[in-house]
Amino acid sequence: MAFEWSANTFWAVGGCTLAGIGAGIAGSLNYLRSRSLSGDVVAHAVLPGICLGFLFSGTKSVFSLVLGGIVSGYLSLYLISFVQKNSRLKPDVLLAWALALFFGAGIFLLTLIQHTGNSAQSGLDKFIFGKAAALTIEDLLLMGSTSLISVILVILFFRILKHYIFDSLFTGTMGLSSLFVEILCNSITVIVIIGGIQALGFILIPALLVIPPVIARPYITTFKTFVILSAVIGAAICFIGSVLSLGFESLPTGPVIVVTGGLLSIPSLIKLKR
Amino acid sequence: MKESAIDINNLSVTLSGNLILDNISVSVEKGMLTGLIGPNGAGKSTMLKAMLGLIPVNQGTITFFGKPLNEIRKQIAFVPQRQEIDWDFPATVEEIVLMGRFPFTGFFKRYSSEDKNEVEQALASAGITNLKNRQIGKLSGGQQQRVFIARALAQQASLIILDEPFAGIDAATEETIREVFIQLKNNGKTVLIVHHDLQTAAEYFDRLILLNVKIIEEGKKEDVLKEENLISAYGRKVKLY
Amino acid sequence: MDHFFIILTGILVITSCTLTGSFLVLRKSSMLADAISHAVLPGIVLAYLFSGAQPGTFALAGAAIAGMLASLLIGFLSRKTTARPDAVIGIVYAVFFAIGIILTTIFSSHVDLDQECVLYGDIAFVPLDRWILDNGIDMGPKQIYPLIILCLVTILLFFMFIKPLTLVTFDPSYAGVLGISSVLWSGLLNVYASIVSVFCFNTVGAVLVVAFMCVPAAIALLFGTTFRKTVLLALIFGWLAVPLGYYIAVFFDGSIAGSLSMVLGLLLIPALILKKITKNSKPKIVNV
Repeated sequence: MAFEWSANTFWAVGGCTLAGIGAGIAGSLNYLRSRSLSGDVVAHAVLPGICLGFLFSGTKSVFSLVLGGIVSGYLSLYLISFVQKNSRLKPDVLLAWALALFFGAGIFLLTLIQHTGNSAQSGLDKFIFGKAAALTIEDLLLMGSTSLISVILVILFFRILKHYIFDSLFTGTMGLSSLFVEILCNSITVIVIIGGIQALGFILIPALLVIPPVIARPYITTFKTFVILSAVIGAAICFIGSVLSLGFESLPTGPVIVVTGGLLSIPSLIKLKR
Repeated sequence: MKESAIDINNLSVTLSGNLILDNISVSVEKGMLTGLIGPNGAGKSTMLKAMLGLIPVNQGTITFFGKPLNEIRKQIAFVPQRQEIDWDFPATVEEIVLMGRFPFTGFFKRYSSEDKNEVEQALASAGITNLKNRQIGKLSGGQQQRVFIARALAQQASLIILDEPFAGIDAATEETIREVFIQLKNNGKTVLIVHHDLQTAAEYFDRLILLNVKIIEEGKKEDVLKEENLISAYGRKVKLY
Repeated sequence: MDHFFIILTGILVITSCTLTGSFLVLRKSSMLADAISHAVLPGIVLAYLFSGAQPGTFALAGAAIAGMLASLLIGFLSRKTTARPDAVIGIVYAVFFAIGIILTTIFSSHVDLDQECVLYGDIAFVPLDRWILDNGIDMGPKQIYPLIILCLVTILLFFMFIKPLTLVTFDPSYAGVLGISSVLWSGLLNVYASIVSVFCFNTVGAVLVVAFMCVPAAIALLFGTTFRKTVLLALIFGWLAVPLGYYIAVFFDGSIAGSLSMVLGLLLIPALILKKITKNSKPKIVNV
């Protein structure tokens, strides 16, 4: 293993760690709403949007890619709830369907772009599994800002989040505030995923949302501590994983972070025994 | 000596660290309509699932008509609570009732005309012949219940066990279904029902079992529904109208 | 001719996947299909490692063990811990898949798998890899044969075991009393889903196996009356989607697997609209 602290590695590790914060926050919210797998769908669903953003703007400008990703990420969640309301299809099938539709479209567009031989498209490859070593300043700014936004949103709307999530768990009452919270949580998820895709790639970024809350679960007492602890654990997993991935240069970052997280979740899973 | 359909001896069940059933011993008489009653969380559903081998037990021996479960499975039809079923499953009423013929066809044989005849008769006995080709998702609560009864009939089960069949059903439908149960009993079947409503329990059943983790009392309704038993079970006085 | 083989491959894959996946969908285990199709990756990599360039059929069947392990682990963790079941699925499949990717990278010189193949397979190359007999006769693409066998076996098993599987899916308690163990049968189903995933992996990649397993059934469920008719309808949708998706891919020069998955997903929308239109024209009959 050959890891050295340099300006590059510092930024790379730092960026990944920041992405972990946002992921932990989003993950904790989704965990409580039993929506851990919707992060999976969103992560796959941003791909076509990113590709379309690239196609329309002709450049690899972060702005157009992110905008595209946000739109298609949202669209997938909206479509799922639309179809659910208008048919007898169950949520789990709709998750699989949205995944198929959006990811299929994403792969289709991605390969289309690759086949046109557009030189700028090489940057898209790192979206697949993440490459900490290839992160640019632009990417890091994105990762940092998505995490920052998620932190701000959570702090700002803390009380409403807390009430809605526990309310829906125990009384199931719906109201205008619950719609708002739905949108809020989905927004945080989409934003954080877009930020984290650079670090882990879109196949494995959902895992970064799912793992920290599970690790945090046995130790929490309140909603606040749960969210904070998930964020910290998310950061820790990304830190360790990105350092390891940069040390073993051939390894893509995403899988290393995920395996790290998986190993670290073992003690918590034992603690959660029935 | 009354013949028993079910004999339970020393049944204890623990779930998630809690003792749900504490050394239960009780018999269910053959050919009777028996109601299993008790407060919420008393272990009624657990007792059904434990004796049918659907959940693990700490201890206990259970026989049906004198035989262990494995020898007599085909004679028993279990109807779980309606909310445990996914009513969006693509199937017609006829298909569900045909499931009751499984003990006769096994895995591989196709359903014969005899099977189809039995299903027709079962549908008629349950009063739902007109619903034969209806999608199960388009049934009312009472109709759903009767589909399960028809299935038990097609199976030619001698023992039919139902978990809260009357839950969430309006009074008129309840009457109709009750009549079907009485008919079953008159045809020699044994029916055991977990019932949620103390008020109607006396009226509906020949025999009662009052359960709250332990058997408080069992037998004739006059014996079971005595005040001291109800206080033991429910923790306070319960008025019976 | 190449077109024909590719479409045939697609049809074989989607048939095997739909027949297996329909049960998973009805058991509300669609995401388990996703998990299994990802979890088989480390098994496949090891299979490639041990058997050289192209793993034989037995090696691939062994790779299915990874899928089985994953589904067993998911079941175990769901039952024995208080962690939310959807989170359990998410962790297990991601970790298995991540291990698979790491193995792919480490052994990239020994193993003929690259990251892209893992994602979306290489169905376009199917016609190129031919089975040529010693006397020079061209028997067609090599990959077709295991897929034909898989498809036939799946059809056979489907009809053999449709009764216990539907019983266990619809009413596990009733089935349990009759002696049909829900745990056993769902376990067998998951094992078979792993095997199907492994065989289809080469052609359509991990992520799209779940599309082929779940989406046709999802569309068919909008219209389904009986289980058999639902499955037949699902197959028909699948068979329609394959040539359609293929020609779109050819026209735009994009991934065939991606296009197939996208077309399948898109088919849900007109189906849904059709359903709503026909529903509004029929009055609802309610009688107690």
